[in-house]
Amino acid sequence: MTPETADSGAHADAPGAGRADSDLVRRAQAGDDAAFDELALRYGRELYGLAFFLTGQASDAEDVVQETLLGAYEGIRRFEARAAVRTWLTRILVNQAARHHRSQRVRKIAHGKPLSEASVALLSGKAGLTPQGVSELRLDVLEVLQTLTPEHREVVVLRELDGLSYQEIAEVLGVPGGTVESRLFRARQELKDRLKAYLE
Amino acid sequence: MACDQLQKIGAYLDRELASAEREAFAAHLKTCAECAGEAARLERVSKFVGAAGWPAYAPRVKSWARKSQQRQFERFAQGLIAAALLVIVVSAGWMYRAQGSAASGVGRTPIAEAWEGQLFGLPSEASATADDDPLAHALLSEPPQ
Repeated sequence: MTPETADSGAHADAPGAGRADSDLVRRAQAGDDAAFDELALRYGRELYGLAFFLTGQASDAEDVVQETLLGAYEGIRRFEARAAVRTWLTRILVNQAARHHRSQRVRKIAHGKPLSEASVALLSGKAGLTPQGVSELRLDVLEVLQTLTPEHREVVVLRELDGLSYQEIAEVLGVPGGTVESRLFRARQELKDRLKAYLE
Repeated sequence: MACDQLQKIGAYLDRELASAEREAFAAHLKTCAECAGEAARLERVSKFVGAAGWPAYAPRVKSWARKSQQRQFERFAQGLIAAALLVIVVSAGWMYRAQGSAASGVGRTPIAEAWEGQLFGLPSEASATADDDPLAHALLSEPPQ
């Protein structure tokens, strides 16, 4: 893990966020374990969501999150407070997910499996998403993302699901901003190809 | 022929273009049917992926300090087991070799022989000479005819 150099914590000014990330980091670095637990709780769902879509399996996602947070706990003293905690944790998680992916056999993906009604309706632009349709759509998205290459899946998940800016994605992946833009372009073309039957 | 502005659609939809470039591209979209159609398709793809949202998460670990200590202990125990296995394997190999050498009498070092002599009261080859064996002494001392 290398020390970060970005700006202050993502949750520093978030309403209802409680203590600022930077405060929790300082306390955790001073040995306050409860402060780290609070950080883990704050970012746990986001990290789990990222891991879920990057690995494609709930059980694998749980393992990746656990490795990420253990790595963060053990490396918190090396973390520089100028960095964004969210970017730092996301970077560790993406690395852990990539390592996990290399150690796993590549799952067979059911290319061409029909999408749920909820997904079809949303893609065709004919209807919005109902609360009941979300879980079906989530599984469709999960399946479609697994057909992408790991590099393309990373940028799509970081941009479309985590909502990171190109600059933040570049920091997480350790690549130039221009690479993020071109990788996203190719990833979206690949996604569009997978979904072309539903986009006409 | 494909429009040379197609690559900008993603950055435009992501609001990653600088304001002047953004305005210029918005104007381009009004006149380029190819880019407008592609932008509409990509927007639907983005909406589809983004609508998935995060799944529910129930953390199993409550205290990361405890979990870290547990992991460090596990690593220590694994290291200890690996070291113990290594000692067992090396010892077994050494004993196997020592047994083979004892049976054949080949490859024994003077030190090993000396130890054997001490332990079992046997003379080692290193210390045994013709003086210890009267017959050998007689044969060696008689000049050849």
